[in-house]
Amino acid sequence: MEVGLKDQIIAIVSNDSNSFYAGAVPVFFAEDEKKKEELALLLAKITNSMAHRINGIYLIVKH
Amino acid sequence: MEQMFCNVVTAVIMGILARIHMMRVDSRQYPTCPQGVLSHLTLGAIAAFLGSLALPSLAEKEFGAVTFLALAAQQFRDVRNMERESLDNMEQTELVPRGTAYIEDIAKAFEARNYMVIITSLSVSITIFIFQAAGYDSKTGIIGGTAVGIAVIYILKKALQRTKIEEIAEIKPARLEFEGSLLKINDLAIMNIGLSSSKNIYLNNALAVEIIPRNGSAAITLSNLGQRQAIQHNASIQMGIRKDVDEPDFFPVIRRNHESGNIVFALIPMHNDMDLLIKTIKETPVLESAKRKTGILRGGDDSKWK
Repeated sequence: MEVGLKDQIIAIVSNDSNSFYAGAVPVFFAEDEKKKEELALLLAKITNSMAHRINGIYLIVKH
Repeated sequence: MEQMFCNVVTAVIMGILARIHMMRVDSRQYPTCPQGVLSHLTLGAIAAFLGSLALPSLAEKEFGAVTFLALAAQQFRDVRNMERESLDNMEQTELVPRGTAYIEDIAKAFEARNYMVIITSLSVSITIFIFQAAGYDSKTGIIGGTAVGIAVIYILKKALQRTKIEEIAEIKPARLEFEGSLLKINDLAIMNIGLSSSKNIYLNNALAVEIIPRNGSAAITLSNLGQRQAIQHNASIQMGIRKDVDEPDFFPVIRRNHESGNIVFALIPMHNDMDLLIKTIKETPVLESAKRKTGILRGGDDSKWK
């Protein structure tokens, strides 16, 4: 049987380090929009997840 | 003895013909050729034997033999289980799964086809028996039996024919757009897609349709998740989908407009052919387990809600 996380936020990609506190989800920071998107794409590919965008930050969610 | 032989052989042949007639490798890509076909033909032949032997054994006062029919019913329930299990096992290997409701429907169809074989064989053997009892020769009996067999096959096939989506709904191309990162089809918010590369693929390659149910029953039927999964599966098989296991962004989406009960559906196909997509959805069967009848308590008023 396969066991894994589902419907979970796996990671967050942001450029604003001030708006985050330490939590259960790893947060990755990138300076500009392009780098942020690249990071989101790579994280989504690595974790077989999907990148969603809310208010300029990327949420990597496993569905 | 010779008469009995004619009776059984004709009935068996008609039964097997009935099974072959119902054996179609169709747009649903099932059963697979050649192994699946062979196993179903063999089971069909067994069903034909059982059906054709019931009456002669009664005539010979071999009442014990009739209990074999009960055994046969058990056997064909196993056919359903076999189909269900094998499709369930394959489910993990499908990019777009069939869904349990569709699997159940397919399994049920296979069971019903075996019963159809038994009924055909039985009616052929009864007809020949009656002809023989009335004093006709074997030839007339065989011809009469064959005619009845063909009629039974035709009637049962008509009776077993499943409704298609086109009978309960209208399908129209829909408009697909993004509002920020929100994917919208005909102004209905579907999902949030973050990556601009994925958005571009959607804008350039996606096909979207709106499925508009014709009445209240159809709207409830289409809201069934199993029914929607069947549409997703069939469309992605026929159109090919541009998705791999690590790309959940491109999973075909099917959502319901909670105001009108309409269904919107988008997928990113390998062939960009809207007509084929509409045709595929039209040809998708309405699942027996999803079929609903509303309006009975409303005095037969089956109109859609406002």
